[in-house]
Amino acid sequence: MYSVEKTKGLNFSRQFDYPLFIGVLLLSVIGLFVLSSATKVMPGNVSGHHIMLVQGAGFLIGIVAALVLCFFDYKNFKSLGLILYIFSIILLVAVLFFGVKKQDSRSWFNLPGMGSFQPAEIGKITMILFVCIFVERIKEETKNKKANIIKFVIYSMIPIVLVLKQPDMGTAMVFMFILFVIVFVGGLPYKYIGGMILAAIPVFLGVWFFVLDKYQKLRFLAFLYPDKYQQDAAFNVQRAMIAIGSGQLDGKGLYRGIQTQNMGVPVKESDFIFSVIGEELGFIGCVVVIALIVFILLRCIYIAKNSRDLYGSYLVIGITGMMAFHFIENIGMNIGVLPVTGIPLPFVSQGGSSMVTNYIAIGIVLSVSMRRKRAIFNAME
Amino acid sequence: MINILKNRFTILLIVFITVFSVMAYQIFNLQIANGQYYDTQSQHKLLSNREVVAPRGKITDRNGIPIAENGLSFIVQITKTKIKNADFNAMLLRLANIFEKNKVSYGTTLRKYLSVNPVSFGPLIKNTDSGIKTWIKQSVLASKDAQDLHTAQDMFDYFKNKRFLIDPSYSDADAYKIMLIRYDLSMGGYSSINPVIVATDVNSATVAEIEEMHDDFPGVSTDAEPVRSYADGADIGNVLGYVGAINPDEYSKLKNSGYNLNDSIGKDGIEKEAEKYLKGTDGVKTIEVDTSGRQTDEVNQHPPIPGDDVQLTIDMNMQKIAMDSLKRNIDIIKNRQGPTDVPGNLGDANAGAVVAMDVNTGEILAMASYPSYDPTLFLSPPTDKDAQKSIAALYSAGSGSPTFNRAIAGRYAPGSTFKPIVGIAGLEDGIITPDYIVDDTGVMTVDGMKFYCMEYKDGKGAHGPINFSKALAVSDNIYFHTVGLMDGIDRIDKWANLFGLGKLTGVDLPGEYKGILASPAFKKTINPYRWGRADTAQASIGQLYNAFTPIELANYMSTLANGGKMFTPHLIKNVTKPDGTLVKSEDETFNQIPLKKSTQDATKQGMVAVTNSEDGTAVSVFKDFPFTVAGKTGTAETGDTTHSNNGVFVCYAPADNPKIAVAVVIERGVFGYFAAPVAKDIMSEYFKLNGSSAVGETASPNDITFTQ
Repeated sequence: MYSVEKTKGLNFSRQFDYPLFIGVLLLSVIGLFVLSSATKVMPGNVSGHHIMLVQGAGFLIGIVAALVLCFFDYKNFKSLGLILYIFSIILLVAVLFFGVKKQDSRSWFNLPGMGSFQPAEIGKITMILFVCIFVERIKEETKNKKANIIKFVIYSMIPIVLVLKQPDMGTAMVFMFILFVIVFVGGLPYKYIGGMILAAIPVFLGVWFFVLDKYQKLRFLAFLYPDKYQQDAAFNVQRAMIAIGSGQLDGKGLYRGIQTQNMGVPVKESDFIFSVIGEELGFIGCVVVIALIVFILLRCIYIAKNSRDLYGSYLVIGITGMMAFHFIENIGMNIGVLPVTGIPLPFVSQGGSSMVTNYIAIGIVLSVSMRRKRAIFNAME
Repeated sequence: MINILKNRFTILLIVFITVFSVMAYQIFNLQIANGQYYDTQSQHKLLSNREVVAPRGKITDRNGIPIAENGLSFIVQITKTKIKNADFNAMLLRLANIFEKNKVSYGTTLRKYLSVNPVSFGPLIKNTDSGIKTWIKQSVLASKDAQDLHTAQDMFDYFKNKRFLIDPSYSDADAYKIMLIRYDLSMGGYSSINPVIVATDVNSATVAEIEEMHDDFPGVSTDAEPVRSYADGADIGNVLGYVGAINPDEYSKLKNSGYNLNDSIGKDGIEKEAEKYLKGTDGVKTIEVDTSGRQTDEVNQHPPIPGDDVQLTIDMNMQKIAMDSLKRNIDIIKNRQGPTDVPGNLGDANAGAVVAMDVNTGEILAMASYPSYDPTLFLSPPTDKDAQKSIAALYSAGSGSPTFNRAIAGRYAPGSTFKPIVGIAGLEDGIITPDYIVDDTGVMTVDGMKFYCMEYKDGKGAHGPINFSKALAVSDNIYFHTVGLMDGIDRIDKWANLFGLGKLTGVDLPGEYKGILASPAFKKTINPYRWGRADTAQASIGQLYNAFTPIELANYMSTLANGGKMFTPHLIKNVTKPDGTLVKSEDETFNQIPLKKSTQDATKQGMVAVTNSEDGTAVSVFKDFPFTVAGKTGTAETGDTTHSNNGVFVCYAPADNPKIAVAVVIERGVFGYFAAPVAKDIMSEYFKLNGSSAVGETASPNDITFTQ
């Protein structure tokens, strides 16, 4: 075990990152209203009321988890990282055998009475916590550079391979994007980045021919050629775009969207929840939500940049990358500029466990933020 | 070092801002630049899932002649729209008036519970407290409202003022019309995307009227659905059964098996028996509708899977003959009036049943029960007053329910048709030989009770010494009393049981009854006295408690004819998918019973004599018939002297190479041989004797093309 140097002399009320936390709270509250509208009318015997109960519980548990985590010194993750990483790898292996199948992929555990839980959600965070240790070592230690690089690559690949096994392309892409952001910010020279992109081409071809099934390929093709594949895959996007467009400047009003309240957009409570924002809250609502998202992301970049150490910096940037990918991909597919991958909108889409993990991620960022370099210390350095 | 990091953070920041700006631009594009266009799209592109009713499987006879098919009928349905409550009520009143003008049935659910002018409970409630309470519980939304509701007027006011907010200016009659439709909508859970059907079997005039003025009827749309239609239903009513609207009990049992509140379901006969094959799977089509519920486009369709077709073993030509002949012969018997003309005929023959079976397969070729009904009547809407009157008439007829299938549920004393069983029991178990002689002196006494030879009783003189074959031919009672007593009741019952008497045959029709076999065990259940020899003597001539269904008698004849192969009589030949793939094939398995050839031959000899020897009891009917028929008449006392005796006739033919077995029962049919012409008519059709008007001609069986 490595000994960890703790940050001392913490003043919670002064050093707490109010802007980030309030930004996230605002987004969550808007999200709860939007979700309550999205779940007002549900197909079959799905209970919108139950969904809201779970969501509300996730919200409260998430806040508590975030507050607890920000007291917890993130540097402890340097020693805890391995255990957490192994734990989530075990879950990712277990889900391949004991998970429930939804839409052809085995990504979920059913928790009796509590809905379902996706181990990859936790996996993203534990992978960030663990691999950032090696990125920091690569940057700071002169010896063992090669060994650390190899460890970084191997530990990064294991969860991605397991997620691809499910198979869940969308989540695998989140993992890859997170790693890319970390190594990018870690200062990987541009020639290597170019090399990675070149190397991605054969990987993509391999995935296309050997991993993706017909259904997943169709979704991708529907994105590229909406007219040809509309009947099958781009239909949802078409519906979402109609709903968003019809919102116009000020929207139809909460609970009053024609498409939302008549089940015009499939999975409006999860993948296509942005269509509800667009239809019912209009352009103004969309801009407010996007502004909040950009604010949260920029604030995270600021925290990463000013982290006391490189580990904290990489942690935060990894989490930033994770959230950014979710936000961009989800909104992008709703408005028809990105392919449909089944990625939810953080803090808004239905899912209690997803809400809790997102708040855990925010808690880690808050923990780094509270211990970051302050302007006054900067001057002293 | 710090510089590089700084750069990369800045780059990331610039990338994020750029990406979100592009997205904001695209959102601007959708909502501001093209918002108007998408708004219009949204108004016209509401998704709606509509159920597509699967056409019910066809039913044909053994030669493919259609019996039940599907036609098209129109329905009117309503989807929820954004319309003021007052306007909605006004529109529904206009719609109701169109329905009434065109005599379209609507609001059938509420009518059962509530009537107007004067306001009172409908026929389903019958003013019992529990009935009212159940209904209130089912239909009143809030339980606190339900507490104050007791009378029909309370309910009427609740619906008018509280539930549907019908303006007080409407008269009670008009408010009731609105209520009728709104009740259906409310109970059917209508919404903007779930239309509720408010009228089925709508005529085209109504459809035209509604479609013409569709702007005045937001949310109201029409559609076509398949409906059942029957060809020659009246000839086969009891076998075919009919379909009707699913009732609440059936629905609660079947709602998880793909049934909806508006579905039809088989209520009786084959329609009920083969429901799982005939039903099919309803489809769903996703359509786009505008905000007034009108279809603007079809998105996709999970087409319905039509029900499987059922082919019956029935030959429709024979079936018609069976029905006609049964009816005609009952009329003939009625008119052979008077105690002087035909002693014992009170002219009250009124009902009967006949079953004809293929003895080599167990297939039922014809099954008729009289009186019967035309199942088409049950397909008529409740507003078809004539049809409703006819249905009511069916039930009020003195001869009992016409929907009662006597062929499988009527239990009749077999009379002398039971005698072969007594003989078989004696022959098989070595009690007698075919040559065993009984001296019939006209009368015998058993346990102090006197038993007579019928002819002796009629003053014609006793038969004297008589053997088995002759005893069957003349249906001598003394012979079978004697042999029966020698056999003992246990042995008789054992053999009756082997031939399926007093047991369910397992025919593929709902509602089969089990016959009753006279036995000490049965007597115990209804009579405190012990079984005695006099009981055995009575049971031996098919009297006492013995009572069997016509199908049991037909199956008994079939088993006797084919040398002991006990089939399960059946009506379903096969079930196929519409594309011809076999779903269920015919069940031709049988149970072999231990019947000796010598016994079969001895019995046959006696039964052939019934229709051929000079003194045979049915020779008058069959004397010119070109095929040798083995038959047995039965005249069964019902113990009720105010009515004539029942006439029973069973037979199989040709005697040496049996193909067909027939059992006929005519209630109050006086004599067994009065029932025999029905069997003869059916066999004439079977052997194709009518086509060449060949009755009486000596056509050799080899010239005949058999239908099987």
